[in-house]
Amino acid sequence: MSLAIAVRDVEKRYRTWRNRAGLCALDGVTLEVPRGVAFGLLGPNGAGKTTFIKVLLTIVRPERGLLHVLDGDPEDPRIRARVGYLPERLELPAHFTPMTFLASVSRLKRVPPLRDGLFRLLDRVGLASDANRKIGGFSKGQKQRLGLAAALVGTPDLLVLDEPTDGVDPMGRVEIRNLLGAELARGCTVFLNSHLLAETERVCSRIGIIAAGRLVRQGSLEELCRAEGRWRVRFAEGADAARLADIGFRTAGEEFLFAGDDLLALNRALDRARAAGAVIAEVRPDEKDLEQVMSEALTPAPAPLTDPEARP
Amino acid sequence: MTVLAIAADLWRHAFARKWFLVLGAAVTLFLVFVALSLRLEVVDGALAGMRLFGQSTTLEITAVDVALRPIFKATAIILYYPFTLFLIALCAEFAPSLLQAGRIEHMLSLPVRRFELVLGTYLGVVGLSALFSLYGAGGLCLILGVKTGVLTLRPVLAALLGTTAFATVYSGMLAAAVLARSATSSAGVGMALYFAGVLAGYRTSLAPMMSEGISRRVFEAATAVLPRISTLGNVASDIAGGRAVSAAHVGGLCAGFLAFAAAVLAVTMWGFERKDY
Amino acid sequence: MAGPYRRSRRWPWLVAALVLLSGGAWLMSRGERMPRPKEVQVTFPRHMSASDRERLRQRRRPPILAVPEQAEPGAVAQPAPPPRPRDPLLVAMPPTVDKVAMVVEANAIRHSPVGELLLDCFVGSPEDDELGRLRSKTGLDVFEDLDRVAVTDDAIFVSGRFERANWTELFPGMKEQTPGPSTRLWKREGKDGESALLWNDEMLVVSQKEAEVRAAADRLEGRAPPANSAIDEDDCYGEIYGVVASKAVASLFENSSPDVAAKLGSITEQVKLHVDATHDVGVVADARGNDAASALDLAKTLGGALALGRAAARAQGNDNLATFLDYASVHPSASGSFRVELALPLDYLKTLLMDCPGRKARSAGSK
Repeated sequence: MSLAIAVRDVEKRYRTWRNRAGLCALDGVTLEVPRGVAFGLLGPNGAGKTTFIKVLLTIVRPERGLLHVLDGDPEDPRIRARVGYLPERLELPAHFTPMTFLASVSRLKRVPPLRDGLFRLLDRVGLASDANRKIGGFSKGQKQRLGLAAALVGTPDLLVLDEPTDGVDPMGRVEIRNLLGAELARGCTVFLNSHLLAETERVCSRIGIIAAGRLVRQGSLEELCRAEGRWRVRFAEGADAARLADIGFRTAGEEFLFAGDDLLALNRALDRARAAGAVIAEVRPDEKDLEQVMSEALTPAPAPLTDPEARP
Repeated sequence: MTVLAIAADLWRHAFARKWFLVLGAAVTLFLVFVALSLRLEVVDGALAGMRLFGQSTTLEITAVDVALRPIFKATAIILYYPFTLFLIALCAEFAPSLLQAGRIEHMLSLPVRRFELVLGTYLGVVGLSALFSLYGAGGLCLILGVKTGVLTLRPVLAALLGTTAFATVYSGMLAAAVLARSATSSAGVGMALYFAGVLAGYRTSLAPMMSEGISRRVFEAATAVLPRISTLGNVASDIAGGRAVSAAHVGGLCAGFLAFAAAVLAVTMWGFERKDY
Repeated sequence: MAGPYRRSRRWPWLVAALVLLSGGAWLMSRGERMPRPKEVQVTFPRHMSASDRERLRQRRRPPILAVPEQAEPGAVAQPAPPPRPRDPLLVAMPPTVDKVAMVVEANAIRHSPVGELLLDCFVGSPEDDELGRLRSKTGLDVFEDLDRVAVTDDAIFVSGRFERANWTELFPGMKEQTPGPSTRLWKREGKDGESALLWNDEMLVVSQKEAEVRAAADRLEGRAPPANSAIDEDDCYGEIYGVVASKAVASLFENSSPDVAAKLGSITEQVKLHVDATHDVGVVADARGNDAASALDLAKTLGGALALGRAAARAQGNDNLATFLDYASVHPSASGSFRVELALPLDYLKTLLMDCPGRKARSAGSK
């Protein structure tokens, strides 16, 4: 499997004159992101998400570790020309128009700053009508969209987005999601750092959870959310909860949970429920949402890595 | 190429700012004023009369280039001293704004090496100062040259020396900006370096005034590496004033200034290479 | 997978900085040791200074009044005007001149930088000391005893201290007379009236014309009616001052600028000249035209001629002349007069006097 990002044992400490040992921001992080997938990095505030992204782009210099982006050294300008980055708090030159800003980014990315191409980019992020307005008058959401357009300059192979929908209205979020979908469809890898779990869940197929500078979970969304040996059953109205509890169905809101991996046992229990007059509406494996996954990952002690596909 | 692109972007920033437009407009207005309101009467290569807004002004009749020397000298001194101070204040914000959070991360994520960023910013600002100086001095030379038939490039050379002095001072400003990310620190270092450089120009006269011993040694050692701002200022004034100066003298002095600037930029890079943003 | 991340090495930047800083310091220290071109220090004598006024005051003497003629019987005696002290040298000089009346403050020039230069130039080696021989023979020390030398059309006036002079040696074969109480006159017989007059051991007047010398004696001893001098008292400033007839000045331009010569001769009568030798030499020539317009026109023509001369000198590689003309300017005024200013930098004079006899003699002696 070809990798867009391969990071191993990366350590970063923020040192000061007073504290020479430094504050550990990343502690032996190892992470791999295959090409063409959307990867979401989750974690609480101060966990090291932004530091990790900055290390990835060598904006922050790590103490040690292996760094590989798009099969090359991230310090190499040729590699960085293939990466689009949207920082968390993007400051844009207020006196520029979006067109001049994108033209400037194009020149630095060694892409010819063709007016049509830049205009198309602005159109994609919904800023076509503001192409010649001064950026100083933009709202936060508009600046975020422009930052995204800048990240898309040069058709990058890897998009690194730090809170891309921060300040963007709900409709805008949908547009950005669609845009990211299109980028994924053309084969671009998306590395997303967002505190919006639902958004991450919708966009990303792979997730990493970072806490206290360590990667505590990494894997596909399905793998991380799947709860081992538990089924969720919905009965039609009128089912006798007490009888169902005797059979082994535990109430979980309006639904019932049945514990056990054995399909025969499940079927036997369902037969007994039906015999007791209950009508089955839906049976499905029980899955956790990302909030639960995060909650489990972060408490109490960091669990070991559980990525079955992790390379040695 | 990347260095030039960064410098060009800095120019775009500058020309989008009111202060720079005001400065450009002021210089242009002055040149237009000179071009339109000044009438010069030249007889056989001598400046024989001057009319300002139609009013005749009595003046000494002497060879045109000699008559214009005080004007050129004043231009050189204005460009060298007050204008440089003005530029220090005006350009102090460039590097810190480039390095501000949210912007530097974006710049560093682009295919730009750190030294290219420093060099591009430096050359952009120095080029900007050269542009204004040359625009003012060159424009004045051209207008007076057309009016009198005598074209001299001495004020332009003097303006270039002014740019050299500013380039040296700006290296310190850039270092302060990179290490402290503050426009105030940048301007403060610029002013300090500028005035220390003026003092350093008189170091050989000032040192004997100090009592012999450690303090004099420290003064001599500290000023030995500093750019001799006032010395180069005198040379600029001499050149504009039509006095003969030794090319080796000027070349050596300018090379010393540029070596100092390059040294400060090297220290800047030393700090910038490990700086996390 | 690439190798482990390596921090880029920073020390080369510091090494480069140290090398550059040292190189820069060395280059700048060389630069600061280079001498600046010397500033030309010219004082243009445009008007009388306080020291000039004081010098004039000290030189004034009460006039020697002639014995009044016997008044006609019955005539009412008019009260005599109070005697006005005057500078004897100005008194001795004729009231009008056709060509030139010029005073050289010899003693002041002797002690000025240009005087030192001239002395260095024209005084030979000790073995060849003409002036020393003159001193021992006549008792006259040119460097010590001379104060001023004035030149007019027909006479030379020298003021100073001549008590020790041996006049017999100075005027051999000349016959001495005493025309007045304070004067002695020497006259060469049969040789066009070549004469010399000594007044009070302070002033010597020499002329080829006896009449000029006698007229000077009459003016000094009050036998001639009081009259203004060719040089006004108010014009006695600088180290050289006086008047030159404009025709004489015009003749200087006849070959190089006939246009200037013609205008100068027709527009002005006299040119007042003042030279300051305090530092570098500053020369001021004041001229008054017949009318303002023609004076301004002449001023412009003169300015143009000087500028052209400078450009031509520069083009011909005559840098000395070009440098001299660098400081030339013409200052017209609305009243119809104009002033020409020239400066002779000492360095320029040194170059001009590079091969002067004194130096040659000394260099030959040293070999």
